[in-house]
Amino acid sequence: MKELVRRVSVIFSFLLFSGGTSLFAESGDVDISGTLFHHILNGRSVDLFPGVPAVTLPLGISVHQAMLFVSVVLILLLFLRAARNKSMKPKGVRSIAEIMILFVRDDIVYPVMGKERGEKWLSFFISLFVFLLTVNLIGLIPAFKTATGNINVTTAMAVIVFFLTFAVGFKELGVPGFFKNMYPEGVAFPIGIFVVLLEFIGLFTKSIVLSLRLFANMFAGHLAILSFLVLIFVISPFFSLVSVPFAVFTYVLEVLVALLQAFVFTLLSCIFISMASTPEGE
Amino acid sequence: MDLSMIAKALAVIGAGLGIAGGSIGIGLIGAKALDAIARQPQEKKDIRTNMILMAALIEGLAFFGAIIALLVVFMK
Amino acid sequence: MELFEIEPGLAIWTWLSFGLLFFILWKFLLPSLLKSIKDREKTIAGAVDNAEEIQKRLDEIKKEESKIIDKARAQADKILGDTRKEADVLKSRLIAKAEEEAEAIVSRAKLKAAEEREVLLQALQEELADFVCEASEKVTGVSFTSEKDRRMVKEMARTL
Repeated sequence: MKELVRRVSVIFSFLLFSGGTSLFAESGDVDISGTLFHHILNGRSVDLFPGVPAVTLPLGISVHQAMLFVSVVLILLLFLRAARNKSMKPKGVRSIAEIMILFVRDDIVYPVMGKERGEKWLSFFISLFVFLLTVNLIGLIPAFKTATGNINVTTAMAVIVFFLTFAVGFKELGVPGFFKNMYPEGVAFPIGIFVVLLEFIGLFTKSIVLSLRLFANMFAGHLAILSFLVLIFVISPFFSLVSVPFAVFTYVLEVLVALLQAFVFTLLSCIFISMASTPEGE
Repeated sequence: MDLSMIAKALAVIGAGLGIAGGSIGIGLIGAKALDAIARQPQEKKDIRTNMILMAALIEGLAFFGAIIALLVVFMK
Repeated sequence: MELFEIEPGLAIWTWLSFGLLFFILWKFLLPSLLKSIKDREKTIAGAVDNAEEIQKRLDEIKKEESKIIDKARAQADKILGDTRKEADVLKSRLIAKAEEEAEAIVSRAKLKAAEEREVLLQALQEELADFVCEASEKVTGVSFTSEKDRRMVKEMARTL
């Protein structure tokens, strides 16, 4: 076990190191911000390994798009294998799937929505959580990119939640009931209207912040790793002795952040949806 | 050129200030949450969930600041 | 700024891939998983209840068992005591009987011995009387053969 950890860490530091050298493989010159962003932003080509020329994706799909597909395929494979295992004692892939399902069920959906409503929504939130988690984590593999580090992806996810909030609210409370729900009880007329306005704006800002949070977290984390590595080229090659350990540390932190952000996104969307559809005071 | 450099420097300072504010907020949340857990360990799970939720909300604001600063810094 | 570049295509692809994922998970993969998890939880809860019941019954059985054992022990003790008492009575009776018998035998033997001694003594006296008569006859030259004399000697021997 110890041996394995050591070997993995050696490989990772090598990859990080070589990833750092590949930063300047194509430009060779000083455009730091350009090279930094090249490794985070969407594009049409993938740098698989330093020294190897970048691979241009077929059919004009962009890298983030490809990452989305890869993660969907990965999740489906995982759950297919998990669903095929019918034994009572979870083993291997099955236990991974069950850990995620139980986490979403017991820590997110049931505490927020209660058991009866939660059961209906469980599939949606499990898919949401697993999807975001996989997309977040897949970006940490060298040569892969984080699709959630693209604001279009996170906004698309937030928009789904946003429309679900409205749809569920309208369905459960009716259109007038939904807006009446925002009006606080026992407040004088003009102030109440102001509160309703604030709540209404809040509906939008909540979703915008939801998307921005995920985007910024994933984006900033990768930027931090890359910044440490870029410092090697800015300062001196010997700075790698400091930089690489810090980059590895940030990398490990990113694993935690990937999990945390997927959790937070799922928890917040669960709260928004359940708040919009339960009458005030319940 | 000169003016834009100043703007960028100010933007970086602003990002730092925003992050400092967020850190203070998250620190307060963490302290209070630990207090609460110490006082009522049986409510640990609930408190932790709410703590993470609040921290995430504040973190979002801090990221707002950071992203605006980034926009200014990398503006051509 | 490239960072906030709007790519509607990517957003649509996100929707599509998430929608596909959600659909497949919701329709095909999750129901069986969720059901098996639920079943397992039910089974575990049932097993725990069962175990509790079994434990309870086991405790009851243990209590009963110890009660029965106590009872049996008391009974055995009682039986043992009774037997011992009976045996004691029997023993003492036997001993008494044996002693009695022994005493009887001894007394009978004593009686017989006394009789025999009497017979012996008589015979001895007679012998002695004869002997005295013969001796005195030899000394004195007078015969003491008469019945009267013999009796006199015999009387003398008795007082000897």
